[in-house]
Amino acid sequence: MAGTVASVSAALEVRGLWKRYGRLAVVRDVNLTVERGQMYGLLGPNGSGKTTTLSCALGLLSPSGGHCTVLGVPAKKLHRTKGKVGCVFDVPALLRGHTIKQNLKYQARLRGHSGGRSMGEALERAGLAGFEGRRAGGLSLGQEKRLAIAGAIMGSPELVVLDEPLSGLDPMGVRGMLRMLEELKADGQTLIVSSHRLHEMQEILTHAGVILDGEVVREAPLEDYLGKAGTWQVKVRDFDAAERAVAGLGTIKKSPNGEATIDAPGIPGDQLSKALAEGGAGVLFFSEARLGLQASFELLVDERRSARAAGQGGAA
Amino acid sequence: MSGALRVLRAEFVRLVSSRTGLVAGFFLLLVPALRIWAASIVANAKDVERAASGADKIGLTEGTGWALMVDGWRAGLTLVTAMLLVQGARALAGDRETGVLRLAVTRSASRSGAVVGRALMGPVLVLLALVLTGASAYFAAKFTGADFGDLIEDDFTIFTGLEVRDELVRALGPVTAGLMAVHAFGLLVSSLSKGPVLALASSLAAILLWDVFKGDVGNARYFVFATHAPTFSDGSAMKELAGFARAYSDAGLPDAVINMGRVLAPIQAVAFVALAALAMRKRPI
Repeated sequence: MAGTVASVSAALEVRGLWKRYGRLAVVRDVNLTVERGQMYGLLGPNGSGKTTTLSCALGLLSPSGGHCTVLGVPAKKLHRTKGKVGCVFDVPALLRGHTIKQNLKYQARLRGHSGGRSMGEALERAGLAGFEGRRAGGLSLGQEKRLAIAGAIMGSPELVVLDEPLSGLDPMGVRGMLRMLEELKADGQTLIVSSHRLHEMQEILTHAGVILDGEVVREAPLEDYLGKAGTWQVKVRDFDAAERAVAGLGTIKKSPNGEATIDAPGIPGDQLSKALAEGGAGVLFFSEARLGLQASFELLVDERRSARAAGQGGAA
Repeated sequence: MSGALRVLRAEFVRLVSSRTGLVAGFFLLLVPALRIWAASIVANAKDVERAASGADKIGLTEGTGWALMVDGWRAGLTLVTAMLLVQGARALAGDRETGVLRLAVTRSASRSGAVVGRALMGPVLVLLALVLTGASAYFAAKFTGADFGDLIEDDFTIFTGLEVRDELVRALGPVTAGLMAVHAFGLLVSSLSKGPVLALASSLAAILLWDVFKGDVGNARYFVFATHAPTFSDGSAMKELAGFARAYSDAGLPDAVINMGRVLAPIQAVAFVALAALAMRKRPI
């Protein structure tokens, strides 16, 4: 139906996207799918093509090839989503001479319809309630980003896209931002976040796509990046006691370094550690033995380097 | 409501809530009043000088308010020309630089809608500016004690007050259209520029250069929108109106020129906006 948002499941679909500047291809044949309800991370190092991909996907940049749809609407006609997409850019787009309230009023007028999350609710969610009268030009970077997010989540956006929301923030700012994103996730908001901050992203994402040198090298649920769940690394004083304690919960294997690995899928970590303690195993160390996003990302980078080196060697 | 109208509404909110908007409004009230105040001081000084030398008073004896008001209004509108050029030049290049333009195109307006919405601010700004400068000029002239009756010199009525009013309305047509075209021109330059500073410098330079050279092209100058907007080297209908309000019988532009301003300037304004929208279609935002 022309002029309306098509009822499709994907919040964002990118197919065969290319972006070239002269002979330099900065985005190469990128394919992405973000389903509704996901908290999707577009991850990659600086200069890998994350912002270019998002800019093409949002119709801000004309792609050299391929196509993107947002909520079923072609990226070039994003305005037809009628305010269903909220965006926060790396450098927050604000009216710096205006107050926080005036900034949000401006954005509300641009959206053109009321309903959904009110200005007050958006400010509350962004942690800026009570600051309405402050000028945007006088805000800290963290507050500027919060204001931009408040603008993006006002109304009833079905998709919120955040480009590098953590960049430039101090540790407290990062913590606050993550908390806000967690709350949005809890609201069921579909979010796409581009970032190179993998440790932090691991805490909030449900899905991730890794982009390296303009190519998406992996796209999967977060769990797939983290490795097998239910595996625990332990160091105990009494291995036999530990073996007895986890019997029925899982299996324990001694490692050559003196530690042990417990395989106990579906058993919560606190239940397992309690069983070990009560069984007199004398736990010295207990940690989930998962790969983690950072390690998984490093593996992908290494694999890519190896593949390139092999390719170059073969070519030579 | 279309995207362009949403952008217009948002831009209006932005204008009325900005400090710059308030300061601009203040200056639009101040400049005509200052011009009239200065002119009345000079006129009084001349009267005193003539009285001291025993010479007769020359010029109008009644209806002196019209000339004062037109002078003040012209001064205000000259400032308006500059302000519109600045506003137009900043509108796209500045918002592109700060990312504010992205807000419009990712929310509810197409690229063309974002341009047209900003272009629609032109007529709004022109009408606001005309009201502010006109009201300031009128009340400032009234404050000096001048009257707005018939133009009378030595008991001889040269023009009636009604005739002056009609001429004023006639002059305002091309001037209004010229000012709107100036804003649209600024917008076009803005759409083609890499940044707001370049846009501002380019558009100001173009208008100033036209001021310098327009005298050399004779009557052909009336084909160009910028001639119909009051500038420092004014050739607009307001300049002629100033002569008319002083009862110069040879003052006033012919109907053909007035109609050129009324018709050609809006056509040029629409063309500028269309070209600006075209330019923005492919540009990264």
